Amino acid sequence: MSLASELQSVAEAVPGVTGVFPTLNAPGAVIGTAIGLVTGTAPDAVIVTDDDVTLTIGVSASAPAVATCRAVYAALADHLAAASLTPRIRILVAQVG
Amino acid sequence: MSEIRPRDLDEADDRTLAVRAAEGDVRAFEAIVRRYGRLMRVYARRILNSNADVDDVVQEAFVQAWSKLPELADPASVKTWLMRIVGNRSIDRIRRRREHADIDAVAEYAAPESQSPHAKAQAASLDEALSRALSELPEDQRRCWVLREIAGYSYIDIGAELELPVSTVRGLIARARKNLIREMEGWR
Amino acid sequence: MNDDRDDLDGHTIEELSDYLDADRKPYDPSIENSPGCRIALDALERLRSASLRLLEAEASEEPEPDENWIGGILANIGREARAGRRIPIEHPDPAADLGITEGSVRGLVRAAADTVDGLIVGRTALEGDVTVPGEPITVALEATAYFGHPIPATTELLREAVRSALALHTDLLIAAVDVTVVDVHHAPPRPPAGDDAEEER
Repeated sequence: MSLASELQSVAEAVPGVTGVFPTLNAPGAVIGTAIGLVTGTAPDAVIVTDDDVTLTIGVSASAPAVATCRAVYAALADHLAAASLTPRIRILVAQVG
Repeated sequence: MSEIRPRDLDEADDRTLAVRAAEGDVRAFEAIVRRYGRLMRVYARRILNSNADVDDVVQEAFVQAWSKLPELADPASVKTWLMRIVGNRSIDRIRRRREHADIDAVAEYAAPESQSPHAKAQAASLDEALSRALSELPEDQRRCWVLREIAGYSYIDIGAELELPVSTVRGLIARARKNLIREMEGWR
Repeated sequence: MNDDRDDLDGHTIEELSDYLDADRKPYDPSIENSPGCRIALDALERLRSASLRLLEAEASEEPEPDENWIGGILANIGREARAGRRIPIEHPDPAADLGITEGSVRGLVRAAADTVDGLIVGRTALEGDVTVPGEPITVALEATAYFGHPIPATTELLREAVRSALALHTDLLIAAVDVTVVDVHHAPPRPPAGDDAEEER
């Protein structure tokens, strides 16, 4: 399992998260899309580079959006720290409800 | 997921729906599609004179409308604005059809005959006469007439869309009108 | 087209079409005073008014579009285009770069507004620099009110609903919620009272 899909599962498991979507204009997103085109696979929803982890999430209307976003950050940071990784984590809430 | 029951948007006015859709409200846009989907389909069918591409053309038109909605200056006029987009997409389709000489797709649509006898009996006789007369017009006359009278295009715009000189457009529309009136009521 | 001239006093149907398209301006006595031309103009006008009616009548006969067709449209619209500004979410950890889109905040403003009876919200705007944390923001709403609901009470409910939704979901500092009632309509027909139980399901 790739780190990207591990992180996606971690994010999806946070209560209130309705989905993880591909991020446009993220560092590494163009490469991911290009690889996807060549290999015929969907690009990862979580984009991982040496310095950044980037993801876009949706949050349920019944969960507080900002608090849920921070909870996703905490879950990802813990998971990455366990692997001795400390990238910048960029999370955007793009959908509520 | 949400415990909030979403407001039924079906009764909202056009302006409210168009403003909300322009701001990204997908449900408001869906309400617009449901409200005007049928009108746009019959309109496209009139221009195309065929059932063949109606599904695609109107779908494409709505997708285009979504992305252009923020540019719509008067949201209350969303209906005529949609007709304009559907008109353009229909004409694009006709052009492509002509380029591919796809004659099979044409003439499969027979307007009034598709109605049930019951509906036919109920239809206003003038409308029915017009409908029949319209489907019997020569292709180029009908297209020009529909664009002029239903879509409100100017002669210049029709000429540009159909790649015809304005003088030809004017002549075709005059002949279409004359034929329609003659068919409908014999004005002389 | 020589038959055009039969009883049009020298005019052609083409000329009459143009004249009608110009809203019968400038006034042309040679047309207006010709009985033949008047009859033809009347017929042309009837034809014109029948045209849009024809389309509407056909539309009412048209079957409802099927759900797959509507779904095909909704699946192909570019939703990310309306994201708007990126509103930062503060976090003590410098490795955290968190945010929420303006578009989703407007979406939750609409969702909150939709819980209030007696009006429907159209335009929603966040005024102020939302990209700076702690900056005071004014929420500007336009609404259509429905007859039979007192506007001051209804708009106050709207303000409260929007404020509490923004407090729950965001860190925005809301200075004011401005409501402009742009229109007053008759309320949409409500389902009969007996249906309420089913509606709440």
